[in-house]
Amino acid sequence: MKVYTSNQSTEQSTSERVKVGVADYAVTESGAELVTSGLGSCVGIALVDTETGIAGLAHAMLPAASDGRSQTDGGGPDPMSNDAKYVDTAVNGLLREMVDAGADRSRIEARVAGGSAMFEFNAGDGAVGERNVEATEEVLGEHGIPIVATDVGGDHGRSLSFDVSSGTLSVRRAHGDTRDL
Amino acid sequence: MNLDIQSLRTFSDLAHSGAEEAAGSLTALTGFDARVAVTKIEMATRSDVEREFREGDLVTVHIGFSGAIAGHTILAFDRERAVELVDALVPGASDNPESDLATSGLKELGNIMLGGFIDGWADFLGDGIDITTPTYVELDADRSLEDVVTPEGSSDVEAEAAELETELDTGHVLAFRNHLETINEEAGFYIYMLPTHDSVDTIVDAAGDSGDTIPVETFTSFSEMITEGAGQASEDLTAMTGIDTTVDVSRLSFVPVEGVPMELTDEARRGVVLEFTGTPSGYIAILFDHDSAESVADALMPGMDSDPAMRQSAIQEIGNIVTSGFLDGWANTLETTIEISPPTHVDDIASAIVDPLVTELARTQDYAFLIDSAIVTPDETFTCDIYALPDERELRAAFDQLAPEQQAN
Repeated sequence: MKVYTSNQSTEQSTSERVKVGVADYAVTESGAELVTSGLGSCVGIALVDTETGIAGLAHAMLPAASDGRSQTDGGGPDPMSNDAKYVDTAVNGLLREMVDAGADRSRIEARVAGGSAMFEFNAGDGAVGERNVEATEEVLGEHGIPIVATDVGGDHGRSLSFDVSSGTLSVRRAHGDTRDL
Repeated sequence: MNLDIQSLRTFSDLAHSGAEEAAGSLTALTGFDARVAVTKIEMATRSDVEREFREGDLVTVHIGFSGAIAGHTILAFDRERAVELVDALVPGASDNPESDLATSGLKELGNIMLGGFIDGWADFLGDGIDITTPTYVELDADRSLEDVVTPEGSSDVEAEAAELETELDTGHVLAFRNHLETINEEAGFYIYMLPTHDSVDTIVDAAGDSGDTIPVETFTSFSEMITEGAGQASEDLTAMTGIDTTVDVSRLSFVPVEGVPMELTDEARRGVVLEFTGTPSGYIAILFDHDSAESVADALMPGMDSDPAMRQSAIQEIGNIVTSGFLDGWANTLETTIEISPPTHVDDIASAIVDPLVTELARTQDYAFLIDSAIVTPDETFTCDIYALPDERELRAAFDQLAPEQQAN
């Protein structure tokens, strides 16, 4: 079982708006609007097959599943550990579901937002946001998926709304400033 | 009653999958596309639960259970949502939401959703759990949970209900709180499960690893320590602003890390973020909505023509004071030192402010202890929300330090 999923299955309904949680992704083929809020150092990855309109949005927390230390409490691998938490596994899962739904990898393009550095903590090894963006570029590069637009870095939060029919990713900051990608 | 991290995870997992069952039933019965947003385990007192029902203006359906485990489950809806649901279940009944027809529709929904929720626990324990017939309750100022945890049904259920009643009276119970939402709406449905202490033991025996357990009394002590910290922060805030404040909420809960930002909205909040180091270390965010931030800054600089930089430093100073008040009590109780970093001013999307804090923790832990408190003024001048996220293992070390003291008491 996974926590906080949008069922991680293709959204078949004609719902107009699909919420993507933290460490979550969702795929739509119905032209729904995919939304996610509160990206700080997290990264939002929006993919769309421009011909079929099959699209997906992921909200990932950390660069790579191998960075996760679910086993630190002495147990074995944690069955609750969530693929959508990590950039690499989230992108792989998102692509797999989009292709299963009929998307063609060669037509998929990506928009990326988030990965900011809002605070400097002593305890952390820093720059998780930056590493999230690098990991996104790397894994999309491996799949040969072009990144057509980005709004990354900085020191502020973002909320995203992906209008699948137009392929526009709207990036909203606090106090309403919005930038369309 | 002892708890360990593995048991808490199992609880969280069971509660989440049970809530997913219930969400599935809701969708099948009403056509509302529901999903589970957040599953939390809280150490709650009777007043915590009652307050949430009253403040949220929630109508509720209650079902008692006994057998392999015993206790009480509650399905709570926003009032408006309840009316919509009734209409989906019994077309036309919403014209008169107080009617028996309307409430029996909700009771039937509660029966199916809560039944599905409890079934998962029975499967896990490999033993039967009986449920009572549902009761429809609107908690208002005149009614308390005492009136609704009323024995009804078999004598076993009566006895168990009385036991839970006693536990609610004498202190904390472990509460499993599941927030369900529909696609377009933030607010929605809540499923609460309040098992008796014995039942928690039963589940711990079935789920837990033998070592490394924490007596539930330690959680309770920690919960009390947090309440005291919030009280101190409230006193300091009053001393500094000259405005009377009280602690409205003070909670310790256990949630999957990714659930923490989802506790906050995407509205803008101002405040400060600080890092603390010691036993435990962690992060703290002190947040105000726009009007509250202005009120607090005004209170600190009465009659002054202040520029934005001065107002920002006023907010930072408030953040310092609140954090010190909040954490000093911890350090005293735990006989340790907790160092606090300088405050970083923030003015951003609330959930995005917490996101980097949680992300730091997520590198080493899948679940987080979330401490959330709210300090309010009786005249609603401002509300101050405090979110503290201690490192899980260090908090456990702190728990261990707390345990011997209790034995001495």
